[in-house]
Amino acid sequence: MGVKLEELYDLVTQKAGFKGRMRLAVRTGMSRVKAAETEDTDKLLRKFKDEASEIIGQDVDELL
Amino acid sequence: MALKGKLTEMGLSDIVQVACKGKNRACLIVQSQGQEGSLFFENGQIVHAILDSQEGEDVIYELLTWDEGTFEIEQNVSPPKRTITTNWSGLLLEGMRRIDESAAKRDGSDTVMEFERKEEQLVSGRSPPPDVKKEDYSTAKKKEVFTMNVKKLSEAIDALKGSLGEGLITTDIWTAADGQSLAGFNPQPKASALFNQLTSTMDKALKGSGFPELGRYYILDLVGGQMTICMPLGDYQWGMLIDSTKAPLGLLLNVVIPQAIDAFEEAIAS
Repeated sequence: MGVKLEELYDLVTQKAGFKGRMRLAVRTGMSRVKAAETEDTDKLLRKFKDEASEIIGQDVDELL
Repeated sequence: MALKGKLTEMGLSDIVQVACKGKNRACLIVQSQGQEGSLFFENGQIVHAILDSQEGEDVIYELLTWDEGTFEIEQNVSPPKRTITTNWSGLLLEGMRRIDESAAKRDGSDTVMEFERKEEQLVSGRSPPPDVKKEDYSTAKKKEVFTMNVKKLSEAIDALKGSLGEGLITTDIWTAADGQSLAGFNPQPKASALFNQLTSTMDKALKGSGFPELGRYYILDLVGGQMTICMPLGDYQWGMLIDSTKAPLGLLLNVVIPQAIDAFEEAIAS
């Protein structure tokens, strides 16, 4: 459940601090706790990756 | 030589701080939408302010609401009279408080707060490029409107209080843009405003030094067995004063803060 989404949250926190994490929460409308409980669907993963890439200024696929 | 600029590039509160710290005799002229206000500085304080027929502190509070226009500082100008005795930092804090108060009245909601942020400004803090008209630039900006669930925010504070008990002396969550308090326990508005400045100064120092930017938090070890922890959360900051004899650092960093951040995140994501 939400393993990859949670990984994205951790990556953004590592690269952009809580500031980045909060931006990801606002942009996706989903907190880290909720993300961990949600299924990793392709659609959700794409959205999270797009937002995370924009927040940290780097393609997250290169970092995962 | 006169120092000139635009309020979009340097806000009035920043200009006042620079002028007061310079401790010179000077006159600051601010122009916006056909109006012109003047502030007179002497010995590191604002001693007189005038706007049309209005004089004194109220002029400063009015000028602090101006976010567009131009300014010019003339050095070695004597004040024509003295109508202000309040310390400059007190004037700025009161001005910010009034702005927050009027914004809260406009919002008119006590359970959910709505914010609109300009993405371009958030990302870079830049002003419109000189070759782009301000109106065009404004409409081109990507705007993002989001809500803050104040009830959940209070729950985040309660969770922190529950975890730390008597170890928590004070805590406050405020907006990074203007230091407006959103929720807190035994809140200290002055400390919030000043820590807001401190975080901004640290950001600049780190950037200027070529160091990585601030991460999840910074901690100040204080005398008397106390410490402050400040967490930059993007548009918000969360600060707390802790009795370290009653709340061990390990517990704070590994248990309490992660829980508090989860709760805060629920408030902004819900």
